[in-house]
Amino acid sequence: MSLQRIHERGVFDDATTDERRTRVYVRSGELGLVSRADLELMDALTTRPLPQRLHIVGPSGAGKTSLILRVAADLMRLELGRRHEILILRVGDRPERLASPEEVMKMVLEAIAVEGHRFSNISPDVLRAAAADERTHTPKQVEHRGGLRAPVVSYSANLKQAYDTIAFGQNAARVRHDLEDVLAQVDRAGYRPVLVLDDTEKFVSPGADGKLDESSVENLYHHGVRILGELPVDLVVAMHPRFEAVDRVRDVIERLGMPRIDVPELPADSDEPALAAIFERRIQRDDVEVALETVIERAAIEELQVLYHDRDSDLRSVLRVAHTAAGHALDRGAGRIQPRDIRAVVATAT
Amino acid sequence: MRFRDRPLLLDGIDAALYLDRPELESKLVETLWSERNVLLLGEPGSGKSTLLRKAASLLESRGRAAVLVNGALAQEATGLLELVDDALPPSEARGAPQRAASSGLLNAARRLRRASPVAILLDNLVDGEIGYDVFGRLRDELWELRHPWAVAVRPRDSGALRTPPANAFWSSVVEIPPLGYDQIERLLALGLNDAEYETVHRDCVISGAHPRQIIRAAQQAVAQGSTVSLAPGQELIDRATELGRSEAMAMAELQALGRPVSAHDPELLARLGWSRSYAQRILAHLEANKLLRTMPERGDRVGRPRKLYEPQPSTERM
Repeated sequence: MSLQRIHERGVFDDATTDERRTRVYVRSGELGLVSRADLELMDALTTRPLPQRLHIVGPSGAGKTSLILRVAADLMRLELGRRHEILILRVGDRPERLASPEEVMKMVLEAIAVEGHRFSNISPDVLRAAAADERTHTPKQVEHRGGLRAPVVSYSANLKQAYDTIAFGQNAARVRHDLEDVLAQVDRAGYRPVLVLDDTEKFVSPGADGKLDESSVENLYHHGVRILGELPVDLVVAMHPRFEAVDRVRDVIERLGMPRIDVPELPADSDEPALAAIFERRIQRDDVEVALETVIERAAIEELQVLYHDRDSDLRSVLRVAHTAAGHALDRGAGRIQPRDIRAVVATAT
Repeated sequence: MRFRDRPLLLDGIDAALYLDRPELESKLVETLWSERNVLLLGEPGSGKSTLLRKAASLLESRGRAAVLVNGALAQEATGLLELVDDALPPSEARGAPQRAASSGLLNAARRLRRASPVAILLDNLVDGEIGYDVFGRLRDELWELRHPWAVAVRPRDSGALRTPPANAFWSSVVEIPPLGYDQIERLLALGLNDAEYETVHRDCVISGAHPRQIIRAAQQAVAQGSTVSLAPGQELIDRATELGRSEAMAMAELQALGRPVSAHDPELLARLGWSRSYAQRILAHLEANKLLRTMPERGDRVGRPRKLYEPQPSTERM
């Protein structure tokens, strides 16, 4: 009953926690992709000088967050040049609260306070998960997040004191100075600060009829991305390609000279479906001792791969279909997912 | 008559009145059991609240803690998260963010962290903006907490919850369908004694309705003998059709909205695609023919109160 275990543990289901996203991540090189987005991002944040401005572009569910998280974990875990402190902002604030540059910078300062006065929110669980496939070929692996390193403790304590005594971020006139002060402290402690705006859709208004609310997108880029891009911090912005249709977005990207890194699309024409490698990795990481072909037919994987391309590279939704199809196969007493299970799940959902 | 015109208390006095809906229960419970989130859609009176209560009961019988939260009490997203925090078992973690420390969404979400996942069953979420803030802007933070959520809303209130990035929060979207013939028969058998059942069952049209409509129609039928159809809405639409196509459309939309509305109501106007003045004319026509009744609107608006229209109950048409 291997398929039963696969289904119960949600092995094929989409990953929703940072730890799992990191643990089951498959590098673009392992998927045989020409585009090496993870390497490009890592390269930009290690070999090029501070500050870098980058935008990661991909449709919903394509894997923007997983890509950023995995690279962030590797950067913090491995000594690749200067050590990094990485703050990922992904709890969006309402556009009306981000109506000025000061409000945006205040949001960043508040996030630092929430993270225990630290310019990082990559958890130890994520770092451990990232270590799972690095046992054999890493440049120099550093086990440093079991406890905080001394420089982190030092700058974090300084920040806490500053927040407590001079009310960081409370005075609109000083908010930029306050944020620059934080970045300077991180820098002095020996770290390269990286600020990630993950999923810009969380910071804009939901438009009517599924359309983009352009004014709130303009707001975010004009008051947010543009201003953050002036600070001494690497800035990584993850966005849906439809944002590029907004003039102000293109203006800000051009003004900041932000290189675009596309989340790679799984190849449609390879002999071995890339999805198979993704499933294999999940089976391996979840310690289910089973060969992939015994729980899902090759034709079913190919069917899922077609679905992936039909759905504009929405890997998340395809993984959910695979998980539900496992349940469907079990319900009819089968031990292996077949194309008909995929079709039945898709038909039910539409 | 044993019927209750309200969501049932399944663990208490109403247990015998519950109409099993095994397929819906299974979809809801299995998704929550696997720590995934469900968006439960249902028209007013379709049994959303009762189904959530049933799910809570089933989960608890399998050893999974579940809490029910009334989302209608929340004025804003942080308020909703506070309601959930209050409903959850107390946190044992030291250093959990204090409520007074910050009013921010992030802090409010993190206060929901518990040692073990608890199924959160949220009912009556009517404010789409609150829903979007919580399940869209906070989506990944909520995922990280690992509590499975079931959120019950009317289909017309679900737009914001199905807009990116909130749409990805739901592993499944389950819609409660109208009861089929057999289910209505079983429902009537549960709530009526033999004499009442006989009264209701004579000359009645019974299909395609939700439990609350069935129960109300049955109550009327028992009160008045067998003169009431169990499809009173259709009768009103038929009579409105005799007045004109617009009148029939307006009647159908009023029934679907399930609340009294004025001719200025934006939702009504959007559904019909009409101007206010045209809506006013058609509603007045229906009122003049005693198919609608009116009441004054209460509110803070300056000036003469607007008329609110709702379908005329059958006793007043007779």
